[in-house]
Amino acid sequence: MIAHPFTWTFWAAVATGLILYGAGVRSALAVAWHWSPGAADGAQLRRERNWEMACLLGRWALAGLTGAALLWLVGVVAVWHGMVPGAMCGTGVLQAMGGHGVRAMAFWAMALLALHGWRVLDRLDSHHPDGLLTPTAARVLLLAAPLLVPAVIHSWLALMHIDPAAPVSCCAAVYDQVLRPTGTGAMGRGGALAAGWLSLAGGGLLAVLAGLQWRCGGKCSGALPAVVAAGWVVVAAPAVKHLWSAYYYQVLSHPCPWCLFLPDHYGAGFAVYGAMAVTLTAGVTLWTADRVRRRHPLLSDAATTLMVRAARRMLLALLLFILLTAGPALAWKLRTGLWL
Amino acid sequence: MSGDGGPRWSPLAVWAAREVQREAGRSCLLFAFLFLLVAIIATPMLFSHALAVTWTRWMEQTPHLVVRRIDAGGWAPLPAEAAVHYARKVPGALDPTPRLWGVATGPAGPVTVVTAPADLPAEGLPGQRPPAPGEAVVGRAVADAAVDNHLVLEQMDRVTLAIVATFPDNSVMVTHDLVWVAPPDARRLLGMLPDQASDLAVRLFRSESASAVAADLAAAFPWPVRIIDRDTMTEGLRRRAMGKGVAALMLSLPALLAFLWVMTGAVTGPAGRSAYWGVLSAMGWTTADLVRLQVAKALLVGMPALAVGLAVACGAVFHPMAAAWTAFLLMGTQQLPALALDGSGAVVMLLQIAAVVGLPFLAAVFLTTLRGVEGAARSTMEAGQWH
Repeated sequence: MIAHPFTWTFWAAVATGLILYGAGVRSALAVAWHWSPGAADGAQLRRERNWEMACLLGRWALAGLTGAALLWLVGVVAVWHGMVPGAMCGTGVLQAMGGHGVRAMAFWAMALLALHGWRVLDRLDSHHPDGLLTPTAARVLLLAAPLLVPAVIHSWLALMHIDPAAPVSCCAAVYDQVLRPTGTGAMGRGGALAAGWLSLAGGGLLAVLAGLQWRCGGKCSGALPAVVAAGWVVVAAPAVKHLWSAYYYQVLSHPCPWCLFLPDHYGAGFAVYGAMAVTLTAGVTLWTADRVRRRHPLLSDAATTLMVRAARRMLLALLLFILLTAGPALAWKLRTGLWL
Repeated sequence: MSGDGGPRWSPLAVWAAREVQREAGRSCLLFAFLFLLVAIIATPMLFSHALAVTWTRWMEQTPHLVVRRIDAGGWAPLPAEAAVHYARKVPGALDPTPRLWGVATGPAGPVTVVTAPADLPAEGLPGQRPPAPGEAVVGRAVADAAVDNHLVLEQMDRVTLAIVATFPDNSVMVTHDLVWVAPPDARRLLGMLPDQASDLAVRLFRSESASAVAADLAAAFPWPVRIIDRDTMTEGLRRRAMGKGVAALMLSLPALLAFLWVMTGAVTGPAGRSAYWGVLSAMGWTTADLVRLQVAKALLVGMPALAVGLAVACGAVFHPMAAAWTAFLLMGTQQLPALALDGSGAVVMLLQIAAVVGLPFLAAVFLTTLRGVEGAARSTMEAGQWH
């Protein structure tokens, strides 16, 4: 494992978040299994009390675990590469981590999405004293556990896998994709262009859907923008890697998503991928709030308000994404008269 | 209370400040404990980081590769001209330079004898002319041990030198036991012939090619050699420095955090607070409001304690006199008169240390308060006649 203070900061955040989450789960267990809103006995009163605790703990846990996941990302893209010989960006660090690094990132993303979904339910649930969504919210809170546990385990294994004495070949990993066009993760010029156009078209479509949602005051369906957002992220990620990033690097054939996070490129990766993450979480909010609105008319107003805010957030994130991806490409074209 | 018209952060902060004043003893205790915790954790971490940065900076001034001739008895002198001739045949090996240096016995123990300005750190040289035969420029430890400004060194021969200057204090980490002499004095002292050198320093066009060029160099010489590359040495030093900080942290952190938990519980815990929290609850405060109040109190005490603790750690690491003592305590090496360490990246390190201590502290306050509030409410509820 790499003996870097940043690693300890990451583990401190993970431990803090897990302790809070664990305490929240303990309180939520009885709520998920034995919730009886009509009862007024002592057990139900205790469960209501427990749920209040669980919500408070869950909110703090969400903050702590989000911080831990961000520290992990910053560590991979900007800190730990200095400790791995031959690594110049996150590609080298992930190479040194074996397969655990990517798996850890995937599980962190899924766990945070689940916790974000819980937070949406929690916010809506707090708008009615009967706790209409309490059992559902408790189950979603518990659902994050099977995602968090592998996230932490893979993070541990990934950091233990790094050997500061064993060099990696960061550039070889990137250029192999170009030299072996049939290899995993390879994408031809046509594929990159198609992904680029699809990311712009999908972004435009999402922006229209989000704008409509905002304009109609949250009365439109939330499922469609949620599905489009999920699909758009799948297309936009390779588009950034294979096409848009070239305008930051100002070279072709460098399909590396992690170099975009380096200070040499103004840390643009944080904003570009951050915009994608905000779009995805806004999609989760729209989908969750839409379902709640349809099933619980008493929460309709609160759900509608939440959907309008999510649509606004999605719109702003998409504008930022388009500005940071198509913007440099247009600037390059205006400056040189050519596309890369 | 948390909804419209309830206390928001600003009035809550005022309320929290008033409570901190009312509980001055407890607050001072928490402040002192947190301050000590931060200082104890931050000092070794910051020291090891600064040491690693400083060592790396020093190492950047050294040659990429050093070639030493070896035989059955270990190190052997190198024929200088032949060594340069062979090294020049290797592509990528630039500017091969024979070096003359060695270890001799001084008045207070072994010292390192060097002859060329290139063997010295840039900080040790400003305005310093090379010593003439019979003269020496020495490090602080050697100067302190000298008698009447004269130095007697022994190795293969006995040499008496006049000390003409001392290396500046900011280079003490490298020059502490260093003696810079003229080449004829060094040859006499070390028993080396005029065409012999201690080793061969080689610079590279690209440092990444060190391992490849080292293999070519080893094959180019007709005698066995040992080649040391700068990056491996730097990495070894960096790991050694960071290892000290991490070891200190790993030894102290679990016990300190457990103590923090207990202390936080004792200071913010529910003993005698149930009635007060009950009154606030009756006034309409929610559990979330009570937790926010406790967190605000913890921040009011914790933030200054964190700042003072980090400032003390900075002083212990970056003030030359204090740093020498810190080095003595942490590294267990020779006591230095002063130690100037590089402060690059210290701010990021301080933020990381603040997070390592601050996050568990806030979590401890949060959980302790929540448990207290819940426990108070439950006992009240279950003890009531209506239950």
